[in-house]
Amino acid sequence: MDPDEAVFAVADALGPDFIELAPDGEAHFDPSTIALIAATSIVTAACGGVLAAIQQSAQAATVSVLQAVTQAVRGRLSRGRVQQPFTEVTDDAARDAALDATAADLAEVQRSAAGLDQAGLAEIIQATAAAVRQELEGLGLSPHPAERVRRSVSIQLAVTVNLQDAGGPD
Amino acid sequence: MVRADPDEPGPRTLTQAQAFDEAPLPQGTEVLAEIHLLAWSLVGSAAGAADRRLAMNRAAEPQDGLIHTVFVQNGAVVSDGWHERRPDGSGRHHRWVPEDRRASAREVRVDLGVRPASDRLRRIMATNPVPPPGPQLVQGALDCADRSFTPYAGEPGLLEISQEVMAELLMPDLERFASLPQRIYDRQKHWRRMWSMDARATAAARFAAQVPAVCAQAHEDDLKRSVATYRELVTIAADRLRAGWWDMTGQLITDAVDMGYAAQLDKLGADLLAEATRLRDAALAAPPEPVRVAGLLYDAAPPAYAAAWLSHSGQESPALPAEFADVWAHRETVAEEMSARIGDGLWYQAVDWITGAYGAIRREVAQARARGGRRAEWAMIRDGEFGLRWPRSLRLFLSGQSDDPPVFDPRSL
Repeated sequence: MDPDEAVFAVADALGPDFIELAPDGEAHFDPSTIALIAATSIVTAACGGVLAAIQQSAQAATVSVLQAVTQAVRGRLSRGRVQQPFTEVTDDAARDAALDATAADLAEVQRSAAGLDQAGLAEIIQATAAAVRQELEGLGLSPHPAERVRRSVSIQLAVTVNLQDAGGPD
Repeated sequence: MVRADPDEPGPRTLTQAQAFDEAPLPQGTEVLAEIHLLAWSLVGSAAGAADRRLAMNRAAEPQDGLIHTVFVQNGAVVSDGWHERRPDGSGRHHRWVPEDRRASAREVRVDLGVRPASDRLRRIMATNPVPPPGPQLVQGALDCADRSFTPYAGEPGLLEISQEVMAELLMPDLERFASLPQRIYDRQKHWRRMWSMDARATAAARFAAQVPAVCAQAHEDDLKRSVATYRELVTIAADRLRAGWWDMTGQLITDAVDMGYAAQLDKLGADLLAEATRLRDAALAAPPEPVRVAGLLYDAAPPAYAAAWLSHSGQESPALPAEFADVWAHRETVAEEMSARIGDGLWYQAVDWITGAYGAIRREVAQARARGGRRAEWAMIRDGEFGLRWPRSLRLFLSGQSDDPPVFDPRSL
């Protein structure tokens, strides 16, 4: 699949509610660029969650897979990172750089997940998408758009790792 | 108004104001569509908004840099503002600009005596028989827009509500008094439905109906205190309504917070924003029918504006509990942005329809795709969508996957 489409789908799930992630007060509101860059942060965080979980599953775990997912997602979905596009002028080059980096993250997830147990992957994806939703709500996103994003992340990750259930793990 | 072939290139590039001026008057059922779209663009958000936008567009070509806009009426300067447009297309409005930056600003003088949208609406009404209640509605919209250009003009809807409340306070009838919140609410609804109240005045009228009532509900177990709270706040509302929406909103909300009702106002603010969000989402999910989209945005504008102003005014009170400070600041940012986008959306439903802009936008999308691929195409289509310029259903047409442009369906009315 085209990795850009995964980001587009998450950005569409966020929709015009991306403004809920804005810092308070004066800010930039270039609609599609900000939504898209926010979506790249979300997808990158989700990829980080999946990779951390796969790594943790393969090791003698000192922390649970769930903890690893939460930590990885939280670390990549920081307030500063999500709010950055609202406070800096972003152009097409910045948008393309963010999309290219996210495409690399998705490719890494695809490689790492190859040949792994489908049921285990489904659980990892479910946990990752839930962690993304939780972090986004913590950043100020309302429950309704946060749930839309969770579902979209879940579906896009499922498609990326070629999970057999086309609808994703929900 | 839709051109027959959406892919046929236009003969020359026109500014928005030029295209608006040159657009032929509508015919047949399109008269009804355009009356609604023009009237709603005039009073849907801030009264007179469509006239101001067109006057500004006439006064200056969009250019990057700092602009000092000076609004002139009958030769006298009536107000001014600063805005900045950046090469990347982003921009920012400023209430104030430091002296050292002012020297670099380009001054643009906008003649507010020019009212292109109101004039067009008058011309349509003069040349087309419109069945009742059309003429009354349009006159309401035109009067409302005119008032916005008249300093110190009273707002008849707000004055009517003020007088009704004052009459109740002078001759208290407990049974009638209990129905006062609903009667104020119904009155603002009526004025809004008659296209005679803009979003700001409607928000103020809703505050008059809802703020005293929700604060009084805090004393459900103490009828005497509940009635006293309601009387005190509704008196402030009625008194300040005579001075206009701005004055009334600020004072009523600040006083209610000072009196300790932040929790009740917090819930009201959340409810208003949820109402605006629901209507905005419905507009985005609507078919490619500008009157349907505009109707939903028209209803979304007052609660969005009210949510922004409630949050803003409440923060002015030193009595606002710390637990609400961040939540209200966040809500103000979100609601203010939504309110601005709704105003943009109402404007674009009218101007894109009147100027038949959809074909040109479709060609721009095709050019963007040829230049920057799917990323550029996605960005351009979503800019319009997230900016409430068009609903999601227009994606297929704009991306060239369908040849069905937006149409007017009289059943939308």
